[in-house]
Amino acid sequence: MIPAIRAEFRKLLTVRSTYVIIALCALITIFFAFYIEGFRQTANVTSADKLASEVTSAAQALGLFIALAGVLLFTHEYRYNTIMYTLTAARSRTTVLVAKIIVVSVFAIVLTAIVCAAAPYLTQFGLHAKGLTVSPQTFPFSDLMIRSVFYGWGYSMLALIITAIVRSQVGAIAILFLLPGLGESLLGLLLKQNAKYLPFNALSSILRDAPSAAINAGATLSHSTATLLVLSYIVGGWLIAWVLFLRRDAN
Amino acid sequence: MIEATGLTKTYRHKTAVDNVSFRVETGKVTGFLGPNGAGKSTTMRLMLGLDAGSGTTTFDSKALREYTRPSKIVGVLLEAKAFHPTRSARNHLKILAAAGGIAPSRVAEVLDTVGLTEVAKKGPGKFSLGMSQRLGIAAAILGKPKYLILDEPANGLDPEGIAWLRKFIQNYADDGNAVFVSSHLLSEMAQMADNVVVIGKGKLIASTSISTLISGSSHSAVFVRTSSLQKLERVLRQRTMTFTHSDGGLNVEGVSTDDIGKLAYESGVPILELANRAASLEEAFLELTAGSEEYKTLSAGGGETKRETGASV
Repeated sequence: MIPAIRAEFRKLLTVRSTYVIIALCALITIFFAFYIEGFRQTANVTSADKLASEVTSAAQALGLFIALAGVLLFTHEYRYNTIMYTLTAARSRTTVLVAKIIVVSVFAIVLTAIVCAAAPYLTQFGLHAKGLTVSPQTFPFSDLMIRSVFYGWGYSMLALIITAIVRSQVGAIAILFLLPGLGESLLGLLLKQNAKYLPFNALSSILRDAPSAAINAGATLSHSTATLLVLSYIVGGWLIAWVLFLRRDAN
Repeated sequence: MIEATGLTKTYRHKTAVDNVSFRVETGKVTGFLGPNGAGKSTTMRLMLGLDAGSGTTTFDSKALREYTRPSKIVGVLLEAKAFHPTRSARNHLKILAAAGGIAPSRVAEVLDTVGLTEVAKKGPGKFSLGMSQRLGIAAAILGKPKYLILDEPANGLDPEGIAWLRKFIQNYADDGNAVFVSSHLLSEMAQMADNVVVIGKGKLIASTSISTLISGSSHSAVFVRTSSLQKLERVLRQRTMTFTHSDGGLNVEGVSTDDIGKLAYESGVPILELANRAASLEEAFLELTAGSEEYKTLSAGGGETKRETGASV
């Protein structure tokens, strides 16, 4: 397993796209957190959850980009046919799949944690640079970070499951761009209130601080329910992807 | 020894590889021949477990998955351009070394072996086909495997590259390893391979040594020239020997020069020339695979040689 993980890390870190994604995440975070939410503001901050919302906003804004690194790691294998080397070097296909899941998970967790931790500080710097003050903040750091990092990891896992099933780079990216927004919105017309159970909707519920009344009324999912539901999707999705990965021709 | 048994691959209604079994011996180069679409690449992929199908392949009586480090057992080159175009050749090999549990120092060694040290830091996306093949060969030999499975490794190589490859493959086999190599360059295969596996339309046609394959071809014959051609023809017919007319003499199939010399002496036929005419691998291959081409062109012309067989005495 260790050689397979080492090889997957090397694959991730020796392509330009990974660094483009990291740079993109850094630029987007700086632009929105520092400039838009900080430096461009004109009034002092009175809202008590201003900085807390920056954490979850960063996760929500960058989930797709972070997930793309995993999508590319997986689909490059098939696009450039290096999958034959990967599979013949490993003792089993399961080892290869698990190694990919581990590497993509580590990448998603680390990058999400960095951008989410940096975002409130960047906003604060922006506000200070403009000479504005921030009122005392409600900032449950560990809770916010856990939920945001779970969101980033969950997004990457759902994206990787889609990729492992589809295997086509264009197909996987197209689905990722369409499913969470347009796809689940259209399904929402059909499913009405039950649309909250769709994978990306459930994932978003983890970031949302919905009032208890809304949760009790069934309008949205609680954090724990959403987390369990997303985990179920991930486990179920991986079971399907794993069976296909074992049975399909490697091309 | 590699032992492939009952390899079968079916795509919906088409059987691409049909119950193919053969052996690849250590210390020898085994050529893998077949017309386009015969199922050579699919067979190789089945051997490596890359395609789902039935049948088994063992490497020294063990399946590849039973080895802790498969890269040290079998090296593979199935496609020349199997690399990320912008990842450097060195990094490409370092990844394969990491995956196979191979020392990173081997990367520099194999790059040197295939002559790519100078371009090691470049992305192989702009490599020529020949350079790509060399990178593929470097990847295959990275783990110093006992077995090499190479699919058309000579494609795109220049004459110098082909000569290098031939020598390399022969030396690799001479070191006690086994090389299983497919190629369309039959003249190269004739020089390089000891044994040959021939398939057509997914079925095994032959699995034998090159010399047996060639000697068994109807194109292998004894050429005899005489001043008494009609008398010789009569004698051959009496002995039910098969012959064809060629270059003012006769090509007699399935006999040795000794047989013809003795026969001519006993029959009082003067011999002006007597020689063995071995078929080329190409002739033997074309004879074996006649009718099993998946895709073929219309005949470019050329008449057939009339073959005669004498009646029984």
